[in-house]
Amino acid sequence: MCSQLWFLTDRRIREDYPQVQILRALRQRCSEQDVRFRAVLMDQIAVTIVGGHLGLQLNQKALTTFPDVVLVRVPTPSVQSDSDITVLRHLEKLGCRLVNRPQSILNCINKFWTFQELAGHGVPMPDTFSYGGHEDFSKMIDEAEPLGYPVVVKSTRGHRGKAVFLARDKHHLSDICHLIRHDVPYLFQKYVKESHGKDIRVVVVGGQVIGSMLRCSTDGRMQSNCSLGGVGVKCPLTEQGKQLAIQVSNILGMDFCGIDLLIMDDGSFVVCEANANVGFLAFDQACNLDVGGIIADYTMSLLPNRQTGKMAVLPGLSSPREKNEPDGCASAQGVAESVYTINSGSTSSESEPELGEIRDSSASTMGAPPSMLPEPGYNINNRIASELKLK
Amino acid sequence: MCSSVAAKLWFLTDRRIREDYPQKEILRALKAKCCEEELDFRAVVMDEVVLTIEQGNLGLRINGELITAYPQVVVVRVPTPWVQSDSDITVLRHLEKMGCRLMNRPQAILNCVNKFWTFQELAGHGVPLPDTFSYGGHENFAKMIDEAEVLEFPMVVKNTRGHRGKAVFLARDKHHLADLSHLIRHEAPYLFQKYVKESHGRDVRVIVVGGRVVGTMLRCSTDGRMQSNCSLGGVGMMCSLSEQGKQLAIQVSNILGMDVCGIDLLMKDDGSFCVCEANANVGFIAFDKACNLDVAGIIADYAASLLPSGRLTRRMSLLSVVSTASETSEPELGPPASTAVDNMSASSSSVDSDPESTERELLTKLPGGLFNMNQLLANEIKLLVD
Repeated sequence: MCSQLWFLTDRRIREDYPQVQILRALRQRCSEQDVRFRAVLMDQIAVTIVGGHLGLQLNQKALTTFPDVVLVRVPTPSVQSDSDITVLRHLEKLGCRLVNRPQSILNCINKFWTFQELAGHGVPMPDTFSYGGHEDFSKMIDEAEPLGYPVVVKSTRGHRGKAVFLARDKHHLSDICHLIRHDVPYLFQKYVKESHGKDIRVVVVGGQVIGSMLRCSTDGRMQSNCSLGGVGVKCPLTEQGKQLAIQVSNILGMDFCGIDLLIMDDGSFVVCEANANVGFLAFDQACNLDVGGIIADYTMSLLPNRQTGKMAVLPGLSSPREKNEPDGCASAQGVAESVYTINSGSTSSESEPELGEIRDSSASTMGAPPSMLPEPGYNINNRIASELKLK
Repeated sequence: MCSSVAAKLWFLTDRRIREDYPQKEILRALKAKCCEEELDFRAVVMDEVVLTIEQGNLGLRINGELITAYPQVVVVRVPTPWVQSDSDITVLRHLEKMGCRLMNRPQAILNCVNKFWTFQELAGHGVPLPDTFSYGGHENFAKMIDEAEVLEFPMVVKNTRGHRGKAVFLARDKHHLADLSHLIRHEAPYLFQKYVKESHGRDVRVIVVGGRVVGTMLRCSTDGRMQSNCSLGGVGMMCSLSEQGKQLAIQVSNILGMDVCGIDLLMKDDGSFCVCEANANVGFIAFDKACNLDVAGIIADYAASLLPSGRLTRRMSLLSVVSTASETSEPELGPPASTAVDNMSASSSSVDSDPESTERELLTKLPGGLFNMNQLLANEIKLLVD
């Protein structure tokens, strides 16, 4: 049976440029490489625990096979309230390889958490203060004085350059602290004056820089986000800048992300932000790239049959058969067995997604799959427990 | 101003709950324990803490003081609701990354703040759980009414972020759920759970500290409600728990990574149990009364046991100062604090008695690896690779 790959996104953003491009690219590659592909919306999923084991329902049907790889694009706001994270960690515990992983996404949704992860690794970042508890903003006005004025103030949960402002002095902060929302904490950050109104957006996929773009604000504002009217132009990046972006991506555990760098007068960089849900419309235009395609290629490279396929060819070559075609079938059979072993519960070799589902569903009524559901292969917890025993 | 007092053990809580019974008892017990063992102790309130990242390294300030000596162990009691919005978690993970041993650890606390996450962690370990469904995204409650039908009615519905038995109800049928779906709040998702009829209105609360069951209490509702929480008027009485029940509670505690927790077990007719809930911020006023226990004292003992055994306490450092042939007792009061600081930071061989020079020395060492968990982890990774 061939590999399964899902593209998991949300109804509210699926028509946006990045999602449309990723979907197009994945469909094409899965079709070419005989990989079962499915586009899934977050609200089609019910996460279940039945008989003490994790399970999954899709449009009210219980699944008995799970995807090998899931490419995730969920709206940043929803990840904040942890409901989407519930689904992502469920899939991860079922053995799926998520792109990006849930923990990496979490590392990016709170801007101070990003800096907590990066601290101590020698990554240049602006001095930043924050706090716990609520309604402590006014207290911070005194505490953050060592950062000097003007000082950057950001909601730790803002995105697209919103919920950020430059506070010119202490009185200004006192004035607004009664007006702003306090449902999430803020961070206070040293202002990098030389990078006012501009930054460099670097897109990293699979540990490689695929492009970089200089972004400039057009209205004198400090933020340069294109979604706020900023403009982006392709901009070559120094080796130093590239290595910094890759380092940040690796520390945060990202498969793909946008890293925003501030530019110092001496040509060096300071990390401003990391984004797990990076938009790339402006990027594709400015750099003449197909980021969606690059992400799809990387995602395909994570499929298990891509690794076993290469190894399977070697035994094929050594076989006494002379024709390549029959060897290909033998290799495919090996791959299918590999997939079967991973899933532990499927006897289907259908390549037709709809028919496969129907068969799984009818098999369920016969009672066989329910007895297979408890198979430990479906649960990463068992694998972790086994690894612990090995130690 | 800098504080160089060696704070080996902290109690970190929140202004809103610090006057509640559990926090007052824990504070009392920790003070007594630290006095008895001559450990430096400090009680810290969450809103006194400022988190900093300076020169690329994690830092900490309390009430305007730059902290240069970090606690080895931090006993954490933060209100459950606020952990939901991750601001307190920000502080906890900061302390953990600075090398402090938090009790409970941030990840363990997170495993309990969302009830479905608790079950995700427990699934696949052979722990008996009631079948439970949930969903991602918002406003999917209505959709779940059909999806969860296999759980049968009546069905338990809980807000994944509720606590103290609130935000839980028994849904009698599908129409009831459809009616409610327009009225209830949806900022956090709900879970749908198979109803364990035989345990209606009662459960067993087990308190586990340091991997050991310290007590068990049968809780019963007094108004026919399904939940038996004492905060809702339920009553609690001491009850002995079978070995099976104890082992189950310990297993759950270990899987979730808890140092201190309450495990709520539902009771089946055949005497077996299934897990209902885990609580990282377990209240124990009813527990202390019903079981005649001092849970806070047990927590304090366990916290003290987490202190690194190789580190000198003030008593031992005092002895080492005495052995340097100094005869008068008065001058020895100063040096022991400095010595303790040096020993705790583990990067100084100085026996300087001058606090100023010690502070300057520590400040220059701030970027040192021992002040940052990330570097410790990096070192461990290198060792693993070798």
